[in-house]
Amino acid sequence: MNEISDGEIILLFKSDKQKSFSLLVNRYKERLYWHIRKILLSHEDTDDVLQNVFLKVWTSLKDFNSNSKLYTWLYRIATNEALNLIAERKRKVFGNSIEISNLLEANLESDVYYDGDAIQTELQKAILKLSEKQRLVFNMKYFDNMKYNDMAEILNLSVGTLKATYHNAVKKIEETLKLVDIIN
Amino acid sequence: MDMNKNNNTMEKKFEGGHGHKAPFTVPEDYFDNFTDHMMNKIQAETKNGDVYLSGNNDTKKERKSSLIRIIKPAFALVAMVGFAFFFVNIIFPLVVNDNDKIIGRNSTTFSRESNTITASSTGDSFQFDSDFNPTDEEIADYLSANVDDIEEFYNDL
Repeated sequence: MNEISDGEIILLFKSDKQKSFSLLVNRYKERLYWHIRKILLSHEDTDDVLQNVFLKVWTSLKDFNSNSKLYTWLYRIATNEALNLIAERKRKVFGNSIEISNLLEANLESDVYYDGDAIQTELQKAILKLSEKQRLVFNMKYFDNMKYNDMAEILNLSVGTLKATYHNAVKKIEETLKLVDIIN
Repeated sequence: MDMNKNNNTMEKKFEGGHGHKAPFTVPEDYFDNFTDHMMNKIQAETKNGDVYLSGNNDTKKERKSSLIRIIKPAFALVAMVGFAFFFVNIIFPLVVNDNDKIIGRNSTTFSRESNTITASSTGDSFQFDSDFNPTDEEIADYLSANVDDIEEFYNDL
């Protein structure tokens, strides 16, 4: 059975919103969930943000510019929503990036849906020490193996910047992991 | 080159564990139920008017909403201009007239053009003429002419 394309889903949205949207949610729920989860770490926060993302998609899909890829458009909305939640938390704790990373680390440790071992936990803590941009780039490249061109479209950065950011992020993570004797 | 070397180091370290898989899980059946849950949520929020479904009524509602959004600033501008017009033509002249009245009332009491000040507190009319400028001799004559009245006054005490 031929799978319906993204373009066909968008076309179908004009005639049968419910069916088209159901197809879209089915196709992208997992990918967007894991993308958001790696930014926010907690399942509860991720679930809230994912639902908000799809609500926004529902209201603005009619205005979607078919020149862009649906996939990058969805990732952009998801990234913005996740970062907005972090910004909101920052305002609430009146903190800087160090405090918000502590908050995210606490979220990680208290989350019952986290099953990382000691090494994975140290890696997640090292990722939290990165800047917001480095964190996004590292997660998208290291875990999702996303293409730089797609990342450039989602994050609105040049491929050169993304490569340099990823390189710096990896170096920083290695240094952090060396300090806790995870790597030599 | 250096970047690839770094990546390889990390990959080797994690190849026995999760590798590139993030160490997170989700509640049981989370993804299986997510689509239905999402569609129910959209329907519920549509009933509350938060999200618009397709169909004529909803399209009208949406159009109305965007029309209000466009017209609102124009209304605000018209209201501001109207208020400014009202203030300049109605309120401002009234305030200025009140001031004129106050100045006018005072000018009847303290006339700049006239060098005289009229007081009527006792009912008598005294007129002080600033052109009257008596010499010392005239003052002495005046005092000596009325000296009898003063003596009479002291004698009565």
